[in-house]
Amino acid sequence: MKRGTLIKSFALMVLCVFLFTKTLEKQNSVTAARLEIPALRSELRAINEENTRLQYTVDAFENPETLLELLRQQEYSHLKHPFISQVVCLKEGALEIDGPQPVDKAGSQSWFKPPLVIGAHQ
Amino acid sequence: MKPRNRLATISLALLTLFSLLIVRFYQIQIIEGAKWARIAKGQHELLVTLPAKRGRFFGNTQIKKGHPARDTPYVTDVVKFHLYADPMAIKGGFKEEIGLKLSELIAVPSPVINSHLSRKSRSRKLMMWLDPEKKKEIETWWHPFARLNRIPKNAIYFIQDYKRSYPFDKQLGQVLHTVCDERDHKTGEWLPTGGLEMLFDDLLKGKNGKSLLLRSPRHPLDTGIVLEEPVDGADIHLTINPYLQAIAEEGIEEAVIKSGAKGGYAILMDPEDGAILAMAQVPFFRPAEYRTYYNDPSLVNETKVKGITDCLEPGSTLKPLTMSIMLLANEEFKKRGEPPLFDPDEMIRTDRRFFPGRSKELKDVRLHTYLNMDMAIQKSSNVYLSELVVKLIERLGPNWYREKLTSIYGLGEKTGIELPAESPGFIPTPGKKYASGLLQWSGPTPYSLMMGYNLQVNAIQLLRAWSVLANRGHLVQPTLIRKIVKEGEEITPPHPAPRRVLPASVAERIVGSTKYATKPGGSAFRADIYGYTEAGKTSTAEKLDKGGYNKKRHFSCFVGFAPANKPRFVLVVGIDDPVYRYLPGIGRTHYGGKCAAPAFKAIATRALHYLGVAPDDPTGYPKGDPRSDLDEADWMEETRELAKIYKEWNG
Repeated sequence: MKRGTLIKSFALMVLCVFLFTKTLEKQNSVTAARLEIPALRSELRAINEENTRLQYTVDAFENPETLLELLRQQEYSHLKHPFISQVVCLKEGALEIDGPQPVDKAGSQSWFKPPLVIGAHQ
Repeated sequence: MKPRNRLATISLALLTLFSLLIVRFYQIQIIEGAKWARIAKGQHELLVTLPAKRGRFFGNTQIKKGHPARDTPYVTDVVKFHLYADPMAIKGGFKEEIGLKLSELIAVPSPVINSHLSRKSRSRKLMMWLDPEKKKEIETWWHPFARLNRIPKNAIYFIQDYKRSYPFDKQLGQVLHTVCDERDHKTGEWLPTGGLEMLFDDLLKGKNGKSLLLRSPRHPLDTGIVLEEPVDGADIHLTINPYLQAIAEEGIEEAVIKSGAKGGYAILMDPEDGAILAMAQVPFFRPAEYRTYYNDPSLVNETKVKGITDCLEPGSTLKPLTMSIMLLANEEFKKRGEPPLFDPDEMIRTDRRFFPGRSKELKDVRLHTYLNMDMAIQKSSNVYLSELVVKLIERLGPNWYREKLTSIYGLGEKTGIELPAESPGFIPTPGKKYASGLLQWSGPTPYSLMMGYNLQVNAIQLLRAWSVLANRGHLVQPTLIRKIVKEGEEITPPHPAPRRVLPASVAERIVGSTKYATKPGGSAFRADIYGYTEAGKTSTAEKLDKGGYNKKRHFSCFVGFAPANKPRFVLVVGIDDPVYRYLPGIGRTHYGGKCAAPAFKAIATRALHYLGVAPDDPTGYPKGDPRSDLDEADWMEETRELAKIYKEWNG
């Protein structure tokens, strides 16, 4: 057998072994990742459940009945319900105001800052 | 045997054995291949249920259509744990010790736990719905204890489950209802107890999914194969506003306590589209404690939505509706070129006591000699309406009157609101007979009907009928559903548009008359909402009891809307069986004007403030209030004028 052929065969074998090892490593990492999935999924589920539970606690605290009770207390007696015409509704991400906008003498609206933000359009 | 023959024999035997092996392989792989593949799959693969979440209910906090609002959940599925024991896995000597410790941890008597642990069973449920904190507390004790005493760790174990939880506690209890703690043993599905949970069960329950795991000694290996995706139940967004509901519940509870009644309800509806804004009922029903209600026969009745399941005789609240039919009759005669039935402003004699076809005396609470339509509604006169109804039946017949009650106001038929067990009510039909053989419609029937007796309506029907006046002539479809969202897509069924059933001019005229009722001289002056205009009518209907009307048992009611000129809501307040008594300075407290009208005022005032409705009668306050200017107040000039005419006619 020629020397060159021997070297080529050896190099080819090394390359094959290398690629085979790499493939095995990849397979192992995929298997490891797949093994982690159930644990991670259950962790994610637990976090979501905890989130739901906490939200439930917040909602229970913000029970309208409790809020009405608070409204009757002396320290909140200054609070009044705004008239619907006083509610300014902003569009999300832009200073656009529902309904007619106040205009100053020069006709510019740049000076206007809404006094009250109730919420943003969903 | 010769060596050659021996070799041939051995070869033949080996060949036969090899052939048998091939045959066996063929049998296993080809013939029984599917069976063995299935068994292998069963040993290596595991089917896991991916639970679907039951749909939720949300309230509507929008105070104006189109305004942004946060979804406020009325019900949330919160994760809880059921505690189980495997008595067979626990060694006898430890059972008592475990029983004592568990009794201390979960507050269940130790004999109860010991009775479970002494059973020959692999699974006994010891306690339901434990919080995660309690689970952790039990595990903190159990794991070291099991290790120390060499008891299998899973001899005490937990199963996770979702519990329907109600952040607003009793609010809207009868409407929402709940699901039983125990699921259906065969299907594993929730069992709803009633209300919206029952009506929308198919949409709410969703569908569990399935996923495939590979078994391994240490870890389950996720194959990533989902055989069936779980489909969560649809979320139902209600028209109920939680704040208006709280206001209504507080208001009706206070009224029921004050009047010593058995119960009551307050329902608010948007007259423009029929959206129910609040549906309060006292005594309350706490869905989380449903077992208490169903285990006590005296409480079972409180789980119903009485506003739709129980019918009532609407009493005088029907008079404005009857009066509108009289005005409609005028238009009918005008079309026919005949003289009208009556003139709403004309002076009609109202001191007659006996009417054709009626043997019993018919009278008003107070004698009035002459009245016109506005006075008749203001004073809730039975005689005035009887005078008109005699003429109406004489000229147009009973069927015409009955047909108008049905076609204009939808009485006698289900409203179609999204709640189970709605009662259609009842209106007698001329010519038809009861099961007893008696005619439904007889001589006195028209007199009873115009006073709101001899017919049955549910509260939603009454509310819808009054909405026709509030929205100036349109019949709306009452609804509790704003939208239904399933897998991110809206699947809300179409809502029928309001349809015109009454000319706007007739509705406007009747609204004008009902505005007198809440002003001085009216039967419902206690319903006057300071700063706002309103229209409405009281009723105090005697209850049917042991085959007759009981003079001491009543259903008192007020139906009205505010602001009168551009109504934001129609509100019905019903007080069931207020105590029959006389209080010095107040008088008889069971009257609708005494117990239901103040509740209307209290609920409506707070509701208007919450909804941000600007006062449309800014000087309509009582004398002594700095804001008061009765000369400028809405409808005061007309009221004074009417009082003047009344005085002239009646001395």
